[in-house]
Amino acid sequence: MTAAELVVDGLGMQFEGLTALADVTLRVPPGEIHGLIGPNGAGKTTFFNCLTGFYRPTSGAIYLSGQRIDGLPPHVITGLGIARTFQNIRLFANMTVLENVLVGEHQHIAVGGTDILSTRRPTYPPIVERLLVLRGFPRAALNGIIEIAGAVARPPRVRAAEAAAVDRARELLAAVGLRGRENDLARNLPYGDQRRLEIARALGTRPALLLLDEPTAGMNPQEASSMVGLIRRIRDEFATTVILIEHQMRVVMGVCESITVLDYGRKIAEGPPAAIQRNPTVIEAYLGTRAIQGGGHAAP
Amino acid sequence: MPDRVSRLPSTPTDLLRFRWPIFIALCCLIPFVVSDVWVQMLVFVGLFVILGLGLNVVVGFAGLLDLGYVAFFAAGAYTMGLLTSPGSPIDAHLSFWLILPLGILIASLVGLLLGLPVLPLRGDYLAIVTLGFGEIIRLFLINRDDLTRGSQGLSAIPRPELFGYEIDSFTRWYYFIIAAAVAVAFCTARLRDSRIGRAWEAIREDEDVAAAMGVNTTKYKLLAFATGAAIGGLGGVIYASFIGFISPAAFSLQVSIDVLAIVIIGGMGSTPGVIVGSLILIGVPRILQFRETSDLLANFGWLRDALNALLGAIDAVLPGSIGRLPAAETWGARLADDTRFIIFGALLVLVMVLRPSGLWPSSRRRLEFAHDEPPAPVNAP
Amino acid sequence: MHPALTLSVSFWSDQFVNGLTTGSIYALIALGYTMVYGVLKMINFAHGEVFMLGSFAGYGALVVMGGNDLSGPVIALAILGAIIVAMAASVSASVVIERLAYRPLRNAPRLAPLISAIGVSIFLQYLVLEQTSARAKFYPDIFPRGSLSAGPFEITYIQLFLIASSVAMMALLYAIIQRTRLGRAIRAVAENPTNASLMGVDVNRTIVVVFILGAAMAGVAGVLYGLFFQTIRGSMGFIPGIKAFTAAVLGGIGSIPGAMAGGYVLGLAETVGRELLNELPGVSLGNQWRDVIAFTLLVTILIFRPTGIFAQRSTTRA
Repeated sequence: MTAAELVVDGLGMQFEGLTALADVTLRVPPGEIHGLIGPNGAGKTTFFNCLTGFYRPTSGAIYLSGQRIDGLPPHVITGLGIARTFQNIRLFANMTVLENVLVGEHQHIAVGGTDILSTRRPTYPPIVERLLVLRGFPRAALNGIIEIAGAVARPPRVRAAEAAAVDRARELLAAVGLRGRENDLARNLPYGDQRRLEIARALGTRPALLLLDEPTAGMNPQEASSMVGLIRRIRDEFATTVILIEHQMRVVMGVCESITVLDYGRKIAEGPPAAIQRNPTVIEAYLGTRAIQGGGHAAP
Repeated sequence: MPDRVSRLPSTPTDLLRFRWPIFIALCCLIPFVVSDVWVQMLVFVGLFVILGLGLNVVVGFAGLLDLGYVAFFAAGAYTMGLLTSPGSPIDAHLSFWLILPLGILIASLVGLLLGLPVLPLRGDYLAIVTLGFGEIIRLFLINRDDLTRGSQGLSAIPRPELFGYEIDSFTRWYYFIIAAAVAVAFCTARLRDSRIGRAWEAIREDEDVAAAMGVNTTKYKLLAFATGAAIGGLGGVIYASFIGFISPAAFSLQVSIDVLAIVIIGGMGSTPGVIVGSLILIGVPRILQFRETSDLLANFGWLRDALNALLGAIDAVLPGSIGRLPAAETWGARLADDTRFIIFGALLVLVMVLRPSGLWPSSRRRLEFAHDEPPAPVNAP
Repeated sequence: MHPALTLSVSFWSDQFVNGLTTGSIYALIALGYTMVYGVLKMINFAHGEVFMLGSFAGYGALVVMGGNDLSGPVIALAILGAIIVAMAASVSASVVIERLAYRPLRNAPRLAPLISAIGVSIFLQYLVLEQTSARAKFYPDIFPRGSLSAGPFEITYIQLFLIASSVAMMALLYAIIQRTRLGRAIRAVAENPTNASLMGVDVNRTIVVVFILGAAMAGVAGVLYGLFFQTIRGSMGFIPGIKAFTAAVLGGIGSIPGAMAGGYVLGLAETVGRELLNELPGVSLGNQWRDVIAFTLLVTILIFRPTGIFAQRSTTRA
């Protein structure tokens, strides 16, 4: 897959009276490493949740390489090329390292037809939409039967697909530096390796846009700088656009080509790192926490 | 490349490799050494192994709690009964081998119909909807007596024929059940080690994240539910043919409890667990009802007298507070009756609190439950 | 086609009163489900059995106090006594259940407390069935007979008592939740246990309080059920339990006013709704289809309105 362009237009997200995001407009060109910063509670993770379909935005639109994706279910959005990691690591803790990546590769192990039945965005009232889902039912049922039959009989085609997926998973694990840990349980990995595994799992979905939610959280400066190197390498080798939420300013300023600043759900600034560092509005937003100088943590 | 590419590191000694063939061969020898009542008991155990393996897909693999599993068992049994019993209004004289796939199909359709509205939602609702549905199915069978003959039931359901032999003796049924159970165990094991199995496991671990990795969670939950239902239907067809008579009374909530207890107490997600669970929860109560058992228990009249003397002493202090024990030879039958559900209920709680992975857990589940902290976040700073 | 409803006005008003009566019982039980779900996000499957235990305890109390021989104003005291005993029994059972079967599993995988709850439910149900040799018990027939009329409505004393005392109990509960410090703690824990504990709320204690309040309501419901239907048995908690849960879902699970309203909606749907369906050509649903109606309602609500019919649409069910 080639790197994707992300366009967000007037995105708003409200929770029962609470405005988490308001009128966020943003363009991330293909192949860019883009930083998303802001004080705690600024709406950064909510923004990711909207992009990946966890939340349905209450207003605005999201386009991935020109295709509108807001309102689509998460697995469809993943299929269209967005993958993510989680701020509070959410691996499949009791599955092995290799299996975690294999789940990421799920849609690319062609053994029973696609999981994505429609990329049509919901336009009718919810009740109608719930009934319309039934239209895809015969095809999904057929896919399911083929997949079950394939899994039980294990014909050469299925074995080959599985073997290819395992090979690719090993490559991805090697790429993030987890060679040799394939058969460990995910929860037995050290903390930094868990973050790397989350990235490998996300890469398994073959993303065109990779969303990293605080990839260096809890890491010491040395680990953080090796993570920076990894992020750059991923962008180059896997041809993805990258958006990362980050609190460690050294990381943000070091790796990002462009930065968006959120505060109270609104975009307050956008631009190259050097400009952001000098932006009075941004400094204002961070006052009371800590100054936005290189090396400091913006927030705990 | 080994078949089970991604399983835990194991120590594959040669003996371990052949543990299943050896186990099956040993099972096949049993009818030569025990009497018919024992073989009959084992046929029931085998039947519940099949049902347990089916529910295991739903509860153990995908982590969905289905409390109305009896509905699918009933769907299979009534498919067989309605199409073959002379008393049925739609008796079609079909052969067992035609009805087998039909019963499986109908049971999985019932599963889909039930799962479709509920499975897109979060898991908890499924438990109560299936609980209600199991009961509704029974009410339906009783009340639509124009079709099902209500509580009178359907009788004279024919037996299957295989290679010209009618499967009529307990021993033949025993081998038949073993063959069916082995086939089902093979299928569920293959499913577990496939893309589907991984998707199920991922859903069980963290449904949101599974969706974020591209797994269509609704589809895979429905597949788990339909697969479990299909196996339940298979069990139902076999049961109807084995017993020869079905009535709504045989499809009460207690069957769902039996099967659930087998899966949970045996060990979620584990085939040996299902076998051990069936032996203990289905086999032992039947053994308790054997004549040999009551003959044996009759020797314990002295124990009853001693205990009753004790109870009498309590009764003297608190008049009317306590009864007396029944005759010793009836203890087994008493225990096997409704009393066993008291024990099952207590066991379900005890297993969850003390040993959540069950008696014979799958290697994976053992690890999953081996800690008191929430499984995720994994190692939060 | 029916040009008009075929049955008389008094028939329909009877159905309405019957609906309110059963609805009251569903509402009282539903409160326990919805409150526990609110704080623990768990279906307390054993709640139907807590209701059953309350009913049996109330029965025992009435029998000890004289049973069918009671007469005159003493009856009022006896019923009050039975209700207090039933509440005490339900509450103690519920506290023990929470401590032994649920609390150890607070951090366990999602399925574990659910299975444990099923275990408790099965255990209690069959324990009582065993103790009673699976036979029914009959509440003393002591409640004064007679009825009041208001326009087309005729309501028996027992129905009036049942509806009035349920409403009183629910008003009391609502006042506790809304007005007291305890109620604030419960709402805080339901909102977010972590934040609540940071604010100094004792989460464990609050959860126990929730179980106590829910069980007290179920105990009252048990006695009212016994006085009205008279027949009680060990398996009596199962169907009302499922229905009360349906009521809780109808009203939007987690919402206390929702559970009350859901109980009445379900009670009316079973009586008035069923008879309305019977007015349709070709439909004839006997009494035994009541359970099917409740269940169909549950599934329909789950499909189209999983947040309940009264709840405002919430965007975050994640």
